[in-house]
Amino acid sequence: MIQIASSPVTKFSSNVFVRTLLPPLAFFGIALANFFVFVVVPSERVMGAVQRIFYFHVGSAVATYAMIGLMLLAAVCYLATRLRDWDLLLHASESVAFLLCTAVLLTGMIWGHSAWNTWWRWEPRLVSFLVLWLILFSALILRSLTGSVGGKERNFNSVLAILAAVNVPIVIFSVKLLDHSEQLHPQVIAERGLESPWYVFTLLLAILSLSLLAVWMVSLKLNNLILREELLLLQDQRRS
Amino acid sequence: MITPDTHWDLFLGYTAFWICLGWFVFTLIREQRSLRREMDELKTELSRMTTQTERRRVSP
Repeated sequence: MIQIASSPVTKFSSNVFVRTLLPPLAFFGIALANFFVFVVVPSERVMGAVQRIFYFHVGSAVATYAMIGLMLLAAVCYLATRLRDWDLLLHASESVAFLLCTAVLLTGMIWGHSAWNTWWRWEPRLVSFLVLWLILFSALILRSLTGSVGGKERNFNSVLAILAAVNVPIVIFSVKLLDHSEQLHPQVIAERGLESPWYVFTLLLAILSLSLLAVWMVSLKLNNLILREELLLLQDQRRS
Repeated sequence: MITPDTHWDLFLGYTAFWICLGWFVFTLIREQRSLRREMDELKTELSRMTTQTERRRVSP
């Protein structure tokens, strides 16, 4: 019925595991992670209760990077093959990456307000992450303005996705650009700040469950985009 | 530092986080339902149109 019926992208969106097993698995993981965050893990000595934001702040940051990895794959495949479905996957992963990136910024600002007594500081990690958010935002704005109907717009979106992927290592290593005394953003994992095994377990659980949730959201968005394409084809058929 | 705002900030952070994600998932599911409904209506209309065309062809 439609040209994208048996591509790897549509196979992913209609996969039985993704459609039926992933949502309960992700929700169970998130519920369990919440239980560990609020009941099991002890409060951090200096920051107190607000430190518990950390698990979902870092979890969503890792899930954002995973989504940007998916964006890079979709962008490279689209530029190599020019198949519309890779662009659909790019659109879906872009939306989820933007959402998670916004969540990271919001939770980081709220945590920073409590821990540093300021909502924002112009330091490398925060600025590079803001740049990442702006790249994703501009890609979505471009899509909403042009509808990504033309090949040129799709190419431009793919280039923006590659740019976002290039920015990820810059975000990760940005904390090493300045001396530790000149910036407030902590390097918890690099400095082995997670001493209790419960901290590590809860963080890994939050990362895993948020990544599963992100993959499920991508499949939902992808299904919607494919349905929209099919709907447009049917509408054309009715007109003719 | 543990300030009186600590618990409020934690609550605010968590609420903001889950509102973002919950709103997105809710919107996607609602959009999918509406698209499927629209698609079913369109398919029914198309099949009705096809049947009418075939009837016209058959009848003299």
